Amino acid sequence: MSRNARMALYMLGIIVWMGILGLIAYEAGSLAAHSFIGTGVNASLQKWQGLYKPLVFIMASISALITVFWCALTEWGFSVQSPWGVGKRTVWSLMGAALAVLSFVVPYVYVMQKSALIMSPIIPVIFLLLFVLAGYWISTIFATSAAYKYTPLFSSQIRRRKGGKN
Amino acid sequence: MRKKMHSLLVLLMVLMGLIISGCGNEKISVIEIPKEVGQSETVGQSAPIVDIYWDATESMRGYTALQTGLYRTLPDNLGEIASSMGETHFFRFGEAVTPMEGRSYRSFSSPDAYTELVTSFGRVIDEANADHLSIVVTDLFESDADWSNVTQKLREKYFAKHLGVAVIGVKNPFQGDIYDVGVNAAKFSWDSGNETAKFRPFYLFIMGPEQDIKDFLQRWQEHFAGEAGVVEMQYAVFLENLGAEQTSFPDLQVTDSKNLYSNESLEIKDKRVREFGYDSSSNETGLTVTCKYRPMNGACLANMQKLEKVMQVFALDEESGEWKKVDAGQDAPQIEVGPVDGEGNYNATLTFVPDQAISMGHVNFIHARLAPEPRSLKLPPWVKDWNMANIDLDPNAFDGSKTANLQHILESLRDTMLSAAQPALVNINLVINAR
Repeated sequence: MSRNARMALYMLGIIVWMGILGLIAYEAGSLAAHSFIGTGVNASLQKWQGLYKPLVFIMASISALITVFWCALTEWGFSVQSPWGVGKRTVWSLMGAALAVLSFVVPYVYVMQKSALIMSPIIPVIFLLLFVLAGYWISTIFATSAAYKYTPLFSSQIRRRKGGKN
Repeated sequence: MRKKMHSLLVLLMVLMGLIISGCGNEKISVIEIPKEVGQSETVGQSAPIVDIYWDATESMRGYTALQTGLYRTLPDNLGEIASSMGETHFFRFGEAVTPMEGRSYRSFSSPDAYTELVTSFGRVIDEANADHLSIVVTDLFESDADWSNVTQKLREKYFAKHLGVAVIGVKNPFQGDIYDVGVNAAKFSWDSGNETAKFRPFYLFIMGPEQDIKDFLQRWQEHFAGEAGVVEMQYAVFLENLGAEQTSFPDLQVTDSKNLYSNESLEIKDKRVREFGYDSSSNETGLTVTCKYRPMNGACLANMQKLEKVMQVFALDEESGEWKKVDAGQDAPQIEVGPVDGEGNYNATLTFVPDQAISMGHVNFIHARLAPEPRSLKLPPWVKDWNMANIDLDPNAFDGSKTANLQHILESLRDTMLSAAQPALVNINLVINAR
């Protein structure tokens, strides 16, 4: 399989993986909502879920986009001959940090638009754990192109344990 | 690579299985209040049918003799009020009930219309349609024997079906004879002239769905607002909802809750019922609602220090669709009532532990109500003033400005309502899906 085809496959895998994480985020958020949506007459769990679902989709999409962008950079963007002036790990870290910040910002901006959605700090924490750690971090460990496969943090331990195979 | 793909596929299948298994249970048909709990409706009919039965016995003629008073214009006024609610029919009754065509009911303003000899109130109850709003215009002169028969009919046809009864009393000038008084069917004459203290009462006896009765009373009071202070009118209301407002969902406000959240996993069309979910089945769960005891004009007054706290829990048998009673003994849900403020506001708090109080694995219905202790309901004070003691003991005590046996008649209505219906200050109906 060519490198381009393999990267395309990895990107598809990232999208599927983010979709699965999105489902998990939806269920986890729904379970957490039992403790904070309250008993208001217009605040049923089902109504809350209806408003929460698009938020999960947005976060999963952002996470998938950033992760795919990283992988695309490692395959087609980075070049030894034209360094950016910063290390690749710095770029990787900055993208992860940006995603972590968005995990907190996006829900609260969303709530400003959909005031009927009751928000709790547990939701950004769920997004952080799923979309940043399990999503971005894990995906980039396995999907980063071979040239930069040790760039993501701890990827050297994991990928080396597999005998150096990609 | 193949091993990796294989592991990924297995993981995907496990995750999908987990998600699908949590995607809801078999659909249950529409949730309704259990029959044992049955309550009066809180929403009236959009266009009720109003049937007006006019007592056409000779005893009623005297109300039309004098030019003043409400009675002479009552046919028009009553027709107007009833028509504003919905389709209206007039009937005259004595021994039999006869429908009246067109606007012939206007003849009740004239003495010539009163030719019947016997008042058969019981026949009117038999022929009345319980789904309609029925109004009987009469002087309520009934013997004990006649009235016990009427009470039994009212019990079966109205109170047992969570329908209501109300009485409007109006003092009116009177000049004429009153027949069939007491055991000896004596005849008395009475002339009030223009002395208000001697005006004789007539009554509107109203039966039907609670909300339609309330609607009629409100329209009646608005229509005759100008007569306030001029015409003496009194009310006695026998409705299941004693509090008049904020007596059940959706009017009840939830002010506090513990381990509960609003849920809509079931199809519940009845707005008197709300569904909740709990977070943890082993933690104490609580719900506090703000209630208001503000009895409507003429309602029997409850003693807030003498309330019965009724608690019932049912679990739905999904196969038969029947509600089965759940007996949790001392672990059953508890209800506590807070103090009442000057405006009749008070809190009622329901507490329970789900895995002890309800049936896990089923849909549960929790019904809590605050009911007056038997015999603690008081009739409005005017009843005593308008009551004439038993005329058979002393014929010289006849007072045409009062009604014989009125207190006994209205007490029997109150007692029948207490025994046949479920009068309450507040009804709290919850559904908990514990499947």
